[in-house]
Amino acid sequence: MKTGSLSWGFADARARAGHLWPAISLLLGLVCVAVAGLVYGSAAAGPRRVPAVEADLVRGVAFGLVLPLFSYAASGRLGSRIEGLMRSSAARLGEDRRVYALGRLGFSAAASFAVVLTCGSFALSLTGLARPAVVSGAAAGEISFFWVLATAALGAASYASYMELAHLLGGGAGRAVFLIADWFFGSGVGLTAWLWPRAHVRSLLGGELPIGSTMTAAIASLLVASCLSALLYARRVPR
Amino acid sequence: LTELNLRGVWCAPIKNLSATFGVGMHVILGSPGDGTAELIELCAGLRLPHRGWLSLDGQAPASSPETRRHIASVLPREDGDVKRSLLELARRAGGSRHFDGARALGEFAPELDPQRALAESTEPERRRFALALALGQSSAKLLLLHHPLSLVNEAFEAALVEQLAERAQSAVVVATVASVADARRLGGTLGVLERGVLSRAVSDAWPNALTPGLDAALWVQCDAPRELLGQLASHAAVSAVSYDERAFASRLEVRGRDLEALAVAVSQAALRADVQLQALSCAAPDLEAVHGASAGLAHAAYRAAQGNSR
Repeated sequence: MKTGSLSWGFADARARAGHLWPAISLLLGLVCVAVAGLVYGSAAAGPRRVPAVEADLVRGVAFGLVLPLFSYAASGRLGSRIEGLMRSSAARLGEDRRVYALGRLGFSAAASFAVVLTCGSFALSLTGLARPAVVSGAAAGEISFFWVLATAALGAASYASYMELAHLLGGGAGRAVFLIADWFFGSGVGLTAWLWPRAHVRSLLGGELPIGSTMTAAIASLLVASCLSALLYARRVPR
Repeated sequence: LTELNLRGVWCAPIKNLSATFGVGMHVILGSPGDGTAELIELCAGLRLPHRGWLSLDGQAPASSPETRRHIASVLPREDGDVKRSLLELARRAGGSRHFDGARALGEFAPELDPQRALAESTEPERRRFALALALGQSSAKLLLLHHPLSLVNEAFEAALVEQLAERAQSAVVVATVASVADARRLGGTLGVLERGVLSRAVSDAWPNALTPGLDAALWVQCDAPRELLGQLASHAAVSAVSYDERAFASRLEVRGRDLEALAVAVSQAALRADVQLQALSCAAPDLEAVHGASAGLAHAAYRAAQGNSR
Protein backbone atom coordinates (compact mmCIF):
# COMPACT_ATOMS: atom_id res chain seq x y z
CA MET A 1 0.00 0.00 0.00
CA LYS A 2 1.34 3.43 -0.92
CA THR A 3 1.33 5.60 2.17
CA GLY A 4 1.75 8.69 -0.03
CA SER A 5 -1.69 8.16 -1.58
CA LEU A 6 -3.16 7.49 1.86
CA SER A 7 -1.78 10.68 3.38
CA TRP A 8 -2.75 12.59 0.22
CA GLY A 9 -6.34 11.43 0.62
CA PHE A 10 -6.29 12.27 4.33
CA ALA A 11 -4.83 15.74 3.65
CA ASP A 12 -7.32 16.45 0.85
CA ALA A 13 -10.24 15.51 3.08
CA ARG A 14 -8.84 17.68 5.88
CA ALA A 15 -8.43 20.60 3.49
CA ARG A 16 -11.97 20.10 2.23
CA ALA A 17 -13.36 20.00 5.76
CA GLY A 18 -11.68 23.30 6.63
CA HIS A 19 -11.52 24.59 10.20
CA LEU A 20 -14.93 26.10 10.72
CA TRP A 21 -17.08 23.13 9.79
CA PRO A 22 -15.56 20.61 12.28
CA ALA A 23 -15.59 23.26 15.03
CA ILE A 24 -19.25 24.09 14.44
CA SER A 25 -20.16 20.38 14.29
CA LEU A 26 -18.37 19.74 17.57
CA LEU A 27 -20.04 22.73 19.18
CA LEU A 28 -23.45 21.53 18.01
CA GLY A 29 -22.72 18.09 19.43
CA LEU A 30 -21.73 19.56 22.79
CA VAL A 31 -24.81 21.79 22.86
CA CYS A 32 -26.91 18.73 22.10
CA VAL A 33 -25.37 16.83 25.04
CA ALA A 34 -25.70 19.84 27.36
CA VAL A 35 -29.37 20.43 26.50
CA ALA A 36 -30.15 16.73 26.84
CA GLY A 37 -28.28 16.75 30.19
CA LEU A 38 -30.42 19.60 31.46
CA VAL A 39 -33.63 17.91 30.31
CA TYR A 40 -32.75 14.46 31.68
CA GLY A 41 -31.24 15.94 34.87
CA SER A 42 -34.32 17.94 35.72
CA ALA A 43 -36.58 14.99 34.93
CA ALA A 44 -34.62 12.56 37.09
CA ALA A 45 -36.35 11.88 40.39
CA GLY A 46 -33.32 11.49 42.65
CA PRO A 47 -29.62 10.77 43.03
CA ARG A 48 -30.13 7.08 42.30
CA ARG A 49 -31.10 8.04 38.78
CA VAL A 50 -27.62 9.41 37.95
CA PRO A 51 -26.41 6.21 36.19
CA ALA A 52 -29.59 6.17 34.12
CA VAL A 53 -29.08 9.78 33.09
CA GLU A 54 -25.45 8.99 32.29
CA ALA A 55 -26.50 6.07 30.11
CA ASP A 56 -29.06 8.22 28.34
CA LEU A 57 -26.53 10.95 27.69
CA VAL A 58 -23.62 8.76 26.59
CA ARG A 59 -25.52 5.97 24.84
CA GLY A 60 -28.51 7.88 23.62
CA VAL A 61 -27.17 11.32 22.81
CA ALA A 62 -23.41 11.16 22.23
CA PHE A 63 -23.29 7.74 20.54
CA GLY A 64 -26.88 7.34 19.44
CA LEU A 65 -27.48 10.78 17.99
CA VAL A 66 -24.27 12.80 17.57
CA LEU A 67 -22.16 9.97 16.11
CA PRO A 68 -24.55 8.85 13.33
CA LEU A 69 -25.51 12.42 12.45
CA PHE A 70 -21.92 13.63 12.38
CA SER A 71 -20.86 10.65 10.25
CA TYR A 72 -23.77 11.38 7.94
CA ALA A 73 -22.74 15.02 7.60
CA ALA A 74 -19.03 14.20 7.29
CA SER A 75 -19.54 11.73 4.46
CA GLY A 76 -21.72 14.31 2.69
CA ARG A 77 -19.08 16.99 3.00
CA LEU A 78 -15.94 14.91 2.56
CA GLY A 79 -17.07 11.82 0.70
CA SER A 80 -16.81 11.56 -3.04
CA ARG A 81 -18.72 9.60 -5.57
CA ILE A 82 -16.97 7.69 -8.35
CA GLU A 83 -16.92 10.72 -10.68
CA GLY A 84 -15.18 12.85 -8.06
CA LEU A 85 -12.62 10.19 -7.22
CA MET A 86 -11.97 9.52 -10.90
CA ARG A 87 -11.11 13.18 -11.46
CA SER A 88 -9.15 13.76 -8.26
CA SER A 89 -5.82 15.47 -8.73
CA ALA A 90 -4.06 12.66 -6.89
CA ALA A 91 -5.37 10.06 -9.31
CA ARG A 92 -4.41 12.27 -12.21
CA LEU A 93 -0.86 12.43 -10.97
CA GLY A 94 -0.66 8.66 -10.77
CA GLU A 95 -1.67 7.89 -7.21
CA ASP A 96 -3.70 4.78 -6.47
CA ARG A 97 -7.35 5.88 -6.23
CA ARG A 98 -8.27 3.09 -3.82
CA VAL A 99 -5.61 4.01 -1.31
CA TYR A 100 -6.40 7.69 -1.80
CA ALA A 101 -10.10 6.99 -1.15
CA LEU A 102 -9.19 5.07 2.02
CA GLY A 103 -7.18 8.10 3.14
CA ARG A 104 -10.27 10.25 2.75
CA LEU A 105 -12.30 7.70 4.68
CA GLY A 106 -9.61 7.74 7.37
CA PHE A 107 -10.07 11.44 7.93
CA SER A 108 -13.82 11.03 8.12
CA ALA A 109 -13.37 8.30 10.75
CA ALA A 110 -10.81 10.35 12.69
CA ALA A 111 -13.07 13.39 12.74
CA SER A 112 -16.04 11.27 13.89
CA PHE A 113 -13.86 9.73 16.59
CA ALA A 114 -12.71 13.13 17.87
CA VAL A 115 -16.24 14.54 17.94
CA VAL A 116 -17.90 11.55 19.59
CA LEU A 117 -15.09 11.14 22.12
CA THR A 118 -15.37 14.79 23.12
CA CYS A 119 -19.16 14.58 23.36
CA GLY A 120 -19.01 11.27 25.25
CA SER A 121 -16.41 12.63 27.67
CA PHE A 122 -18.47 15.77 28.15
CA ALA A 123 -21.52 13.66 28.94
CA LEU A 124 -19.49 11.63 31.44
CA SER A 125 -18.13 14.75 33.12
CA LEU A 126 -21.62 16.28 33.32
CA THR A 127 -22.95 13.27 35.20
CA GLY A 128 -19.68 13.04 37.14
CA LEU A 129 -20.33 16.53 38.51
CA ALA A 130 -23.62 15.34 39.94
CA ARG A 131 -22.32 12.03 41.20
CA PRO A 132 -19.78 12.81 44.01
CA ALA A 133 -22.29 14.76 46.03
CA VAL A 134 -24.83 12.02 46.14
CA VAL A 135 -23.16 8.69 45.47
CA SER A 136 -19.86 7.49 46.84
CA GLY A 137 -17.80 4.99 44.84
CA ALA A 138 -18.60 3.46 41.50
CA ALA A 139 -22.28 2.87 41.07
CA ALA A 140 -23.80 -0.04 39.22
CA GLY A 141 -24.28 0.69 35.51
CA GLU A 142 -21.65 3.42 35.47
CA ILE A 143 -19.90 3.85 32.12
CA SER A 144 -16.12 4.06 32.32
CA PHE A 145 -14.00 6.36 30.18
CA PHE A 146 -12.17 3.36 28.76
CA TRP A 147 -15.37 2.04 27.23
CA VAL A 148 -16.25 5.46 25.88
CA LEU A 149 -12.80 5.63 24.24
CA ALA A 150 -12.97 2.12 22.81
CA THR A 151 -16.55 2.49 21.61
CA ALA A 152 -15.75 5.87 20.07
CA ALA A 153 -12.92 4.31 18.07
CA LEU A 154 -14.92 1.30 16.92
CA GLY A 155 -18.15 3.21 16.37
CA ALA A 156 -16.49 6.05 14.44
CA ALA A 157 -14.63 3.59 12.20
CA SER A 158 -17.74 1.54 11.43
CA TYR A 159 -20.08 4.51 10.93
CA ALA A 160 -17.54 6.33 8.73
CA SER A 161 -16.91 3.33 6.49
CA TYR A 162 -20.61 2.42 6.27
CA MET A 163 -21.54 6.02 5.44
CA GLU A 164 -18.79 6.43 2.84
CA LEU A 165 -19.85 3.19 1.19
CA ALA A 166 -23.50 4.27 1.20
CA HIS A 167 -22.50 7.65 -0.24
CA LEU A 168 -20.40 6.04 -2.95
CA LEU A 169 -23.21 3.69 -3.92
CA GLY A 170 -26.21 5.93 -3.57
CA GLY A 171 -25.09 9.49 -2.89
CA GLY A 172 -27.18 11.52 -0.44
CA ALA A 173 -30.11 9.14 -0.74
CA GLY A 174 -27.85 6.17 0.03
CA ARG A 175 -26.60 7.81 3.22
CA ALA A 176 -30.11 8.75 4.27
CA VAL A 177 -31.35 5.20 3.72
CA PHE A 178 -28.48 3.82 5.80
CA LEU A 179 -29.11 6.33 8.59
CA ILE A 180 -32.82 5.50 8.77
CA ALA A 181 -32.22 1.75 8.52
CA ASP A 182 -29.59 1.94 11.27
CA TRP A 183 -32.02 3.81 13.48
CA PHE A 184 -34.89 1.48 12.68
CA PHE A 185 -33.21 -1.92 12.79
CA GLY A 186 -30.26 -1.07 15.04
CA SER A 187 -32.52 0.04 17.88
CA GLY A 188 -33.95 -3.46 18.28
CA VAL A 189 -32.39 -6.56 19.77
CA GLY A 190 -33.49 -9.09 17.13
CA LEU A 191 -31.27 -10.85 14.64
CA THR A 192 -31.61 -7.95 12.17
CA ALA A 193 -29.87 -5.70 14.70
CA TRP A 194 -26.65 -7.65 14.15
CA LEU A 195 -26.03 -5.87 10.86
CA TRP A 196 -26.19 -2.35 12.21
CA PRO A 197 -23.48 -0.53 14.18
CA ARG A 198 -26.05 1.16 16.42
CA ALA A 199 -26.90 -2.12 18.18
CA HIS A 200 -23.28 -3.01 18.88
CA VAL A 201 -22.30 0.51 19.98
CA ARG A 202 -25.22 0.47 22.41
CA SER A 203 -24.25 -2.93 23.78
CA LEU A 204 -20.61 -1.87 24.33
CA LEU A 205 -21.86 0.98 26.51
CA GLY A 206 -23.90 -1.28 28.74
CA GLY A 207 -27.08 -1.39 26.70
CA GLU A 208 -29.05 -4.40 25.55
CA LEU A 209 -27.17 -6.93 23.46
CA PRO A 210 -28.66 -8.22 20.21
CA ILE A 211 -29.97 -11.81 20.53
CA GLY A 212 -27.13 -14.30 20.83
CA SER A 213 -24.47 -11.59 21.08
CA THR A 214 -21.77 -11.00 23.67
CA MET A 215 -19.47 -8.06 24.31
CA THR A 216 -16.70 -9.83 22.42
CA ALA A 217 -19.05 -10.53 19.54
CA ALA A 218 -20.08 -6.87 19.49
CA ILE A 219 -16.46 -5.74 19.27
CA ALA A 220 -15.75 -8.32 16.59
CA SER A 221 -18.89 -7.31 14.68
CA LEU A 222 -17.89 -3.65 14.65
CA LEU A 223 -14.35 -4.51 13.58
CA VAL A 224 -15.48 -6.85 10.82
CA ALA A 225 -18.15 -4.40 9.64
CA SER A 226 -15.61 -1.57 9.49
CA CYS A 227 -13.06 -3.62 7.58
CA LEU A 228 -15.60 -5.18 5.26
CA SER A 229 -17.34 -1.93 4.33
CA ALA A 230 -13.98 -0.17 3.87
CA LEU A 231 -12.86 -3.02 1.65
CA LEU A 232 -16.07 -2.91 -0.38
CA TYR A 233 -15.72 0.87 -0.62
CA ALA A 234 -12.17 0.58 -1.93
CA ARG A 235 -13.10 -2.23 -4.34
CA ARG A 236 -15.79 -0.06 -5.92
CA VAL A 237 -13.19 2.57 -6.84
CA PRO A 238 -11.07 1.94 -9.94
CA ARG A 239 -7.36 1.95 -9.18
CA LEU B 1 7.26 2.95 -29.31
CA THR B 2 4.48 4.46 -27.28
CA GLU B 3 1.00 3.94 -28.66
CA LEU B 4 -2.43 5.02 -27.53
CA ASN B 5 -5.08 2.57 -28.64
CA LEU B 6 -8.84 2.97 -28.60
CA ARG B 7 -10.94 -0.02 -29.58
CA GLY B 8 -14.70 0.30 -29.89
CA VAL B 9 -14.89 2.93 -27.15
CA TRP B 10 -18.34 4.14 -26.14
CA CYS B 11 -18.83 6.99 -23.71
CA ALA B 12 -21.61 9.41 -24.57
CA PRO B 13 -21.42 11.23 -26.92
CA ILE B 14 -18.49 9.14 -28.22
CA LYS B 15 -19.72 6.21 -30.24
CA ASN B 16 -17.69 3.16 -31.11
CA LEU B 17 -14.45 5.06 -31.46
CA SER B 18 -11.47 3.09 -32.73
CA ALA B 19 -8.15 4.76 -33.39
CA THR B 20 -4.45 4.36 -32.83
CA PHE B 21 -2.25 7.30 -31.99
CA GLY B 22 1.49 6.79 -32.26
CA VAL B 23 4.30 9.16 -31.37
CA GLY B 24 3.62 12.52 -33.00
CA MET B 25 1.09 15.32 -33.06
CA HIS B 26 -2.55 14.33 -33.47
CA VAL B 27 -5.16 17.03 -33.73
CA ILE B 28 -8.84 16.25 -33.25
CA LEU B 29 -11.17 18.85 -34.66
CA GLY B 30 -14.60 19.11 -33.08
CA SER B 31 -16.81 21.10 -30.79
CA PRO B 32 -17.34 20.15 -27.11
CA GLY B 33 -20.70 18.66 -28.13
CA ASP B 34 -18.89 16.31 -30.49
CA GLY B 35 -17.14 14.60 -27.59
CA THR B 36 -13.69 16.22 -27.57
CA ALA B 37 -13.89 16.83 -23.81
CA GLU B 38 -14.88 13.22 -23.13
CA LEU B 39 -12.11 11.95 -25.41
CA ILE B 40 -9.46 13.85 -23.46
CA GLU B 41 -10.79 12.66 -20.09
CA LEU B 42 -11.05 9.06 -21.32
CA CYS B 43 -7.49 9.06 -22.58
CA ALA B 44 -6.28 10.65 -19.33
CA GLY B 45 -7.88 7.81 -17.37
CA LEU B 46 -10.26 10.13 -15.56
CA ARG B 47 -13.36 8.61 -17.07
CA LEU B 48 -14.35 5.00 -17.65
CA PRO B 49 -15.61 3.95 -21.08
CA HIS B 50 -19.07 2.38 -20.99
CA ARG B 51 -17.86 -0.14 -23.50
CA GLY B 52 -14.64 -0.80 -25.37
CA TRP B 53 -10.99 -0.74 -24.47
CA LEU B 54 -8.52 2.09 -24.21
CA SER B 55 -4.84 1.55 -23.51
CA LEU B 56 -1.51 3.30 -23.44
CA ASP B 57 1.20 0.76 -24.16
CA GLY B 58 -1.21 -2.04 -23.30
CA GLN B 59 -2.36 -0.61 -19.94
CA ALA B 60 -5.71 1.06 -19.32
CA PRO B 61 -5.03 4.52 -17.84
CA ALA B 62 -8.27 4.46 -15.83
CA SER B 63 -7.15 1.45 -13.82
CA SER B 64 -3.39 1.78 -13.84
CA PRO B 65 -1.80 4.45 -11.61
CA GLU B 66 1.59 3.65 -13.14
CA THR B 67 0.27 4.47 -16.62
CA ARG B 68 -1.33 7.71 -15.44
CA ARG B 69 2.07 8.80 -14.14
CA HIS B 70 3.17 9.06 -17.78
CA ILE B 71 0.20 11.16 -18.88
CA ALA B 72 0.14 14.95 -18.75
CA SER B 73 -3.11 16.67 -19.53
CA VAL B 74 -5.02 19.90 -19.82
CA LEU B 75 -8.65 19.07 -19.19
CA PRO B 76 -11.71 20.86 -20.51
CA ARG B 77 -12.62 21.69 -16.92
CA GLU B 78 -9.95 21.93 -14.28
CA ASP B 79 -11.34 21.47 -10.77
CA GLY B 80 -10.65 24.38 -8.51
CA ASP B 81 -11.80 23.42 -5.03
CA VAL B 82 -8.25 23.08 -3.72
CA LYS B 83 -7.22 25.78 -1.28
CA ARG B 84 -3.48 25.28 -1.73
CA SER B 85 -1.35 27.76 -3.67
CA LEU B 86 -0.29 27.13 -7.26
CA LEU B 87 3.34 26.90 -6.17
CA GLU B 88 2.55 24.29 -3.55
CA LEU B 89 0.52 22.26 -6.03
CA ALA B 90 3.23 22.58 -8.68
CA ARG B 91 5.83 21.31 -6.20
CA ARG B 92 3.59 18.44 -5.19
CA ALA B 93 2.98 17.50 -8.82
CA GLY B 94 6.69 17.79 -9.52
CA GLY B 95 7.53 15.61 -6.54
CA SER B 96 5.06 12.98 -7.68
CA ARG B 97 6.24 12.98 -11.31
CA HIS B 98 9.92 13.76 -10.80
CA PHE B 99 10.14 17.16 -12.43
CA ASP B 100 10.70 20.68 -11.15
CA GLY B 101 7.13 21.90 -10.77
CA ALA B 102 8.08 25.36 -9.51
CA ARG B 103 10.38 25.89 -12.47
CA ALA B 104 7.73 24.68 -14.94
CA LEU B 105 5.27 27.14 -13.44
CA GLY B 106 7.71 30.03 -13.78
CA GLU B 107 8.81 29.04 -17.27
CA PHE B 108 5.52 28.17 -18.92
CA ALA B 109 3.06 30.36 -17.02
CA PRO B 110 5.05 33.37 -15.83
CA GLU B 111 1.96 35.57 -15.71
CA LEU B 112 0.33 33.44 -12.98
CA ASP B 113 0.82 34.43 -9.34
CA PRO B 114 2.37 31.32 -7.74
CA GLN B 115 1.15 32.27 -4.27
CA ARG B 116 -2.47 32.43 -5.36
CA ALA B 117 -4.70 29.55 -4.29
CA LEU B 118 -6.09 27.33 -7.02
CA ALA B 119 -9.58 27.86 -5.62
CA GLU B 120 -9.22 31.61 -6.14
CA SER B 121 -8.03 31.25 -9.73
CA THR B 122 -10.33 31.59 -12.69
CA GLU B 123 -11.04 28.64 -14.98
CA PRO B 124 -8.66 29.88 -17.75
CA GLU B 125 -5.95 30.40 -15.11
CA ARG B 126 -6.43 26.88 -13.79
CA ARG B 127 -6.16 25.49 -17.31
CA ARG B 128 -3.09 27.64 -17.93
CA PHE B 129 -1.59 26.20 -14.74
CA ALA B 130 -2.34 22.67 -15.96
CA LEU B 131 -0.70 23.51 -19.30
CA ALA B 132 2.44 24.73 -17.54
CA LEU B 133 2.66 21.49 -15.54
CA ALA B 134 1.99 19.40 -18.65
CA LEU B 135 4.77 21.15 -20.55
CA GLY B 136 7.09 20.80 -17.57
CA GLN B 137 6.83 17.00 -17.57
CA SER B 138 9.41 16.17 -20.16
CA SER B 139 9.17 12.44 -19.44
CA ALA B 140 5.44 12.17 -20.17
CA LYS B 141 4.62 9.60 -22.83
CA LEU B 142 1.23 11.08 -23.59
CA LEU B 143 0.20 14.73 -23.68
CA LEU B 144 -3.53 15.43 -23.83
CA LEU B 145 -4.48 19.00 -24.47
CA HIS B 146 -7.95 20.43 -24.75
CA HIS B 147 -7.95 23.65 -26.81
CA PRO B 148 -4.32 24.47 -25.96
CA LEU B 149 -4.02 27.54 -28.18
CA SER B 150 -6.98 29.20 -26.50
CA LEU B 151 -4.92 29.36 -23.29
CA VAL B 152 -2.04 31.48 -24.49
CA ASN B 153 -1.74 34.96 -25.92
CA GLU B 154 -0.32 35.63 -29.38
CA ALA B 155 3.14 36.29 -28.00
CA PHE B 156 3.39 32.83 -26.46
CA GLU B 157 1.49 30.98 -29.18
CA ALA B 158 4.46 30.43 -31.50
CA ALA B 159 6.58 29.25 -28.57
CA LEU B 160 3.85 26.82 -27.49
CA VAL B 161 3.46 25.40 -31.00
CA GLU B 162 7.23 24.95 -31.18
CA GLN B 163 7.31 23.33 -27.75
CA LEU B 164 4.53 20.92 -28.68
CA ALA B 165 6.20 20.04 -31.97
CA GLU B 166 9.36 19.25 -30.04
CA ARG B 167 7.45 17.08 -27.56
CA ALA B 168 5.72 15.30 -30.45
CA GLN B 169 9.13 13.94 -31.49
CA SER B 170 9.20 11.58 -28.53
CA ALA B 171 5.64 11.44 -27.14
CA VAL B 172 2.09 10.99 -28.28
CA VAL B 173 0.48 14.44 -28.33
CA VAL B 174 -3.28 14.55 -28.75
CA ALA B 175 -4.80 18.02 -28.96
CA THR B 176 -8.46 18.78 -29.45
CA VAL B 177 -9.33 22.04 -31.17
CA ALA B 178 -12.57 23.73 -32.10
CA SER B 179 -11.26 25.80 -34.99
CA VAL B 180 -9.61 24.92 -38.26
CA ALA B 181 -7.18 27.80 -37.78
CA ASP B 182 -5.88 26.23 -34.55
CA ALA B 183 -5.60 22.83 -36.23
CA ARG B 184 -3.56 24.40 -39.01
CA ARG B 185 -1.23 26.09 -36.52
CA LEU B 186 -0.62 22.87 -34.60
CA GLY B 187 -0.01 20.71 -37.67
CA GLY B 188 0.33 16.93 -37.42
CA THR B 189 -2.36 14.45 -38.39
CA LEU B 190 -5.92 15.67 -38.28
CA GLY B 191 -9.11 13.82 -37.43
CA VAL B 192 -12.61 15.23 -37.50
CA LEU B 193 -14.78 14.22 -34.57
CA GLU B 194 -18.42 14.65 -35.35
CA ARG B 195 -21.20 13.85 -32.87
CA GLY B 196 -18.98 11.30 -31.18
CA VAL B 197 -17.76 9.65 -34.35
CA LEU B 198 -14.29 10.09 -35.81
CA SER B 199 -15.75 10.72 -39.22
CA ARG B 200 -12.66 11.58 -41.24
CA ALA B 201 -8.91 11.48 -41.11
CA VAL B 202 -7.65 14.44 -43.11
CA SER B 203 -4.16 14.96 -44.50
CA ASP B 204 -3.98 18.61 -43.41
CA ALA B 205 -6.12 21.50 -42.24
CA TRP B 206 -6.25 23.32 -45.56
CA PRO B 207 -9.58 23.85 -47.37
CA ASN B 208 -8.86 21.45 -50.22
CA ALA B 209 -8.57 18.59 -47.75
CA LEU B 210 -11.07 19.68 -45.13
CA THR B 211 -13.86 21.01 -47.30
CA PRO B 212 -13.38 19.45 -50.74
CA GLY B 213 -15.93 20.62 -53.25
CA LEU B 214 -16.56 23.84 -51.38
CA ASP B 215 -15.10 27.21 -52.27
CA ALA B 216 -11.90 28.23 -50.54
CA ALA B 217 -11.64 31.81 -49.30
CA LEU B 218 -8.65 34.14 -49.30
CA TRP B 219 -8.40 37.28 -47.28
CA VAL B 220 -6.50 39.95 -49.15
CA GLN B 221 -5.20 42.96 -47.29
CA CYS B 222 -4.19 45.78 -49.63
CA ASP B 223 -3.96 49.57 -49.95
CA ALA B 224 -6.69 49.92 -52.66
CA PRO B 225 -9.30 47.19 -52.25
CA ARG B 226 -11.82 48.75 -54.64
CA GLU B 227 -9.37 48.72 -57.57
CA LEU B 228 -8.37 45.16 -56.81
CA LEU B 229 -12.00 44.11 -56.56
CA GLY B 230 -12.65 45.51 -60.03
CA GLN B 231 -9.78 43.48 -61.46
CA LEU B 232 -10.74 40.27 -59.65
CA ALA B 233 -14.45 40.30 -60.38
CA SER B 234 -14.01 39.11 -63.94
CA HIS B 235 -11.26 36.55 -63.28
CA ALA B 236 -12.10 32.95 -64.20
CA ALA B 237 -10.61 31.46 -61.01
CA VAL B 238 -12.70 33.70 -58.79
CA SER B 239 -16.26 32.69 -58.02
CA ALA B 240 -17.07 35.53 -55.61
CA VAL B 241 -15.47 38.64 -54.18
CA SER B 242 -16.82 40.51 -51.21
CA TYR B 243 -15.82 43.76 -49.60
CA ASP B 244 -17.22 45.22 -46.40
CA GLU B 245 -15.81 48.71 -46.07
CA ARG B 246 -17.31 49.28 -42.61
CA ALA B 247 -15.99 46.13 -41.02
CA PHE B 248 -12.64 45.76 -42.79
CA ALA B 249 -11.68 48.87 -44.78
CA SER B 250 -8.62 47.35 -46.42
CA ARG B 251 -9.64 43.71 -46.74
CA LEU B 252 -11.25 41.74 -49.56
CA GLU B 253 -12.59 38.23 -49.36
CA VAL B 254 -12.03 36.28 -52.54
CA ARG B 255 -13.64 32.89 -53.09
CA GLY B 256 -12.86 30.21 -55.60
CA ARG B 257 -12.47 26.47 -56.08
CA ASP B 258 -8.70 26.26 -56.06
CA LEU B 259 -6.69 28.05 -53.39
CA GLU B 260 -3.49 28.22 -55.47
CA ALA B 261 -5.33 29.50 -58.55
CA LEU B 262 -6.94 32.13 -56.34
CA ALA B 263 -3.58 33.28 -55.01
CA VAL B 264 -2.21 33.54 -58.55
CA ALA B 265 -5.31 35.46 -59.66
CA VAL B 266 -4.93 37.91 -56.78
CA SER B 267 -1.27 38.58 -57.50
CA GLN B 268 -1.95 39.05 -61.25
CA ALA B 269 -4.83 41.41 -60.48
CA ALA B 270 -2.67 43.35 -58.03
CA LEU B 271 0.00 43.79 -60.70
CA ARG B 272 -2.52 44.92 -63.28
CA ALA B 273 -4.23 47.38 -60.95
CA ASP B 274 -0.93 48.53 -59.46
CA VAL B 275 -2.18 47.72 -55.95
CA GLN B 276 0.15 47.08 -53.04
CA LEU B 277 -0.66 43.72 -51.35
CA GLN B 278 -0.11 43.83 -47.61
CA ALA B 279 -1.21 40.37 -46.52
CA LEU B 280 -2.71 37.27 -48.01
CA SER B 281 -4.24 34.66 -45.73
CA CYS B 282 -6.41 31.66 -46.17
CA ALA B 283 -9.73 32.00 -44.38
CA ALA B 284 -10.32 28.95 -42.25
CA PRO B 285 -13.66 27.25 -42.83
CA ASP B 286 -15.83 26.99 -39.74
CA LEU B 287 -16.87 23.72 -38.12
CA GLU B 288 -20.27 23.79 -39.80
CA ALA B 289 -18.62 23.88 -43.22
CA VAL B 290 -16.33 20.99 -42.21
CA HIS B 291 -19.28 18.94 -40.97
CA GLY B 292 -21.21 19.84 -44.11
CA ALA B 293 -18.33 18.57 -46.23
CA SER B 294 -18.26 15.36 -44.16
CA ALA B 295 -21.97 14.87 -44.82
CA GLY B 296 -21.42 15.52 -48.53
CA LEU B 297 -18.56 13.03 -48.68
CA ALA B 298 -20.57 10.41 -46.78
CA HIS B 299 -23.51 10.91 -49.13
CA ALA B 300 -21.28 10.61 -52.18
CA ALA B 301 -19.70 7.43 -50.77
CA TYR B 302 -23.16 6.01 -50.10
CA ARG B 303 -24.32 6.78 -53.63
CA ALA B 304 -21.18 5.26 -55.06
CA ALA B 305 -21.67 2.11 -52.99
CA GLN B 306 -25.29 1.88 -54.14
CA GLY B 307 -24.18 2.29 -57.75
CA ASN B 308 -21.62 -0.49 -57.38
CA SER B 309 -24.14 -2.88 -55.84
CA ARG B 310 -26.52 -2.35 -58.74
